[in-house]
Amino acid sequence: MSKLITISPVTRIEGHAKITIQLDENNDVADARFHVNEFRGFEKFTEGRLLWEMPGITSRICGICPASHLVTSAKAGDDILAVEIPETAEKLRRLLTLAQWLQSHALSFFHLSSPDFLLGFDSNPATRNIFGLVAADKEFARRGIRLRKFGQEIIEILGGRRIHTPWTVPGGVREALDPAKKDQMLNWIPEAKETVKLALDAVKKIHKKFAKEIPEFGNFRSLLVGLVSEDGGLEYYDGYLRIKDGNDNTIAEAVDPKKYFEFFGEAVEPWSYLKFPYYKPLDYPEGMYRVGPLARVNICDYIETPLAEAERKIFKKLSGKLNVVNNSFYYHYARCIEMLFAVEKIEMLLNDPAILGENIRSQASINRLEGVGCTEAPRGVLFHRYNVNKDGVIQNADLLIATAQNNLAMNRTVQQIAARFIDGKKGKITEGILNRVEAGIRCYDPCLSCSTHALGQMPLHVELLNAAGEIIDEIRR
Amino acid sequence: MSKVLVIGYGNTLRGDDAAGIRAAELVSKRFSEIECVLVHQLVPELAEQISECDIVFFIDADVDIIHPEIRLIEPGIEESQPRAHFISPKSLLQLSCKLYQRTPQKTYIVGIPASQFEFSEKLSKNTEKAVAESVSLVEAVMLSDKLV
Repeated sequence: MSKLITISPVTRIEGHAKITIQLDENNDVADARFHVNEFRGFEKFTEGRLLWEMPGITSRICGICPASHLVTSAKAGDDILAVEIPETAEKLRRLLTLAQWLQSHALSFFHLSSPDFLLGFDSNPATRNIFGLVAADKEFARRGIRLRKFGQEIIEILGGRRIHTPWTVPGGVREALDPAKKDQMLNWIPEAKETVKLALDAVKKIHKKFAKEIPEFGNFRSLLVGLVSEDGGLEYYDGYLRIKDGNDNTIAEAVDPKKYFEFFGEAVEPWSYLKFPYYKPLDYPEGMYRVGPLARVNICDYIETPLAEAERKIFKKLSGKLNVVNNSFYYHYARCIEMLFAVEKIEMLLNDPAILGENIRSQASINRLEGVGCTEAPRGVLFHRYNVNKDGVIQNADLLIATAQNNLAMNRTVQQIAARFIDGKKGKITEGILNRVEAGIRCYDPCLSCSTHALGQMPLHVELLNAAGEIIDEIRR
Repeated sequence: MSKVLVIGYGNTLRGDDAAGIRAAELVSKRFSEIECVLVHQLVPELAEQISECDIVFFIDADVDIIHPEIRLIEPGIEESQPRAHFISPKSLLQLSCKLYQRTPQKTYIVGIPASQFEFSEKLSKNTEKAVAESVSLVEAVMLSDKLV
């Protein structure tokens, strides 16, 4: 008789989800699924709105990474206007994108995942949170909060408010940077660098602490997809798509992001509202791919800032002979490397005289009826594709979100962790095991508000059911 | 002079949920010398700013009350599992206390009755009236505590 274990909802991620684990006749894990059980449908209700409204509307998909949607939407608008935006506008948008990375990555690492790492997967769930973190290491927690605040402050300075700022628009940005504010941001840099180095030190200790668990924490080969610059460097705003496989073979190079829909399809499963994007040439589900920090740091040839580049080289050594790090646990490490890059690059951008330019917006009317915007959001590559009529009214919108692109990989991760840690013969699941399964999901830092697009949280409810639907075990928290 | 912080929070696209923000905006206009923060939701980053103030007002929409209310709160952990994306006023005070060893001398929660949360940038008539009344409540405390 088979059994079903349900973890609902998954906690410390953005949005609602549950995990079910199916046991076979021998009480071994037969399958595991990561269900996203809510729906908002931004793509549909943007139809009929004006192109110029799209950055403001789509940034409201998410309270965590609104700036990524804002910039990507504005880029789709640039494409429809057929304009090249002024140099200052591009640099300011880059600054905003990196600020978004920094605040989101700081949230993921310090607030969401560190409680697991510092307190342990088996620690008391009542204190395995930010207060537990404060009790365990006050300075670490304080610094994490301040690092996120730095990212938020840049967003607020540029856009006039912390979230849902309407500052980025098709053709450029609305306002130039106030020189006094530039210095205010630069003052943060020494502290931010110090904090990220602290995070990197912590990551290396975490790798030792969890050495026995890491090998089966989402360790598998998949395609890796992300933007790189023309010469192969880590890219986050422009550039081309590079696709590598889990053996470090380049599958596709210099792919124009505007053609993304020719390369990636979206499969649908009846048990989740979150679609399952895949690489079309390999079909579904073999075309599974990963995006985000792990993919980006893996596929690039170099990082342009010195401290982050030095860390990238250390990161690559984790791969052994393959030259590609396939284990999803190392998303955290890659995320910290990207935080370091973001701080260094923010400093570079702020010290660039062009950042204070006054020419910040190209004006044009509708010159194309379709446009695509693409940037690297914190969780991975993000695409917005709009079709408009000659008046700029949206006829169709397609948003391909990073979290969705990791959906197949998240499911594979859950399966692997469940198979390693769940002993179905005991007919009981412990809090520590559940947290390990959830932590596997948290490696990807999924943002379900973006990908489906939803808001809200509930207490955790876990059920262990047999094939007849009878509850064998149940946990609430 | 006491350093006063007013935090209005809510979603301005969800009808009455914007009540806290609207009230905080009015308080800010009435007392230009106070610090005012308008946010979508409470987040841990606010802990530092709170720790630097003497008096803090949290203003929010409340579905469980009929008339505007103002009450004092103390630090404490309310949620069994505090969320990184949202934190309650009490928990935020607790975080200020633990991280910065300082909390405001007094912290008030101002509740504004709210009932309609559909997509809208307008408040319902009852909540609009209650926003004005809540500002009077804050004003009364500020004057009685000689904060202004």
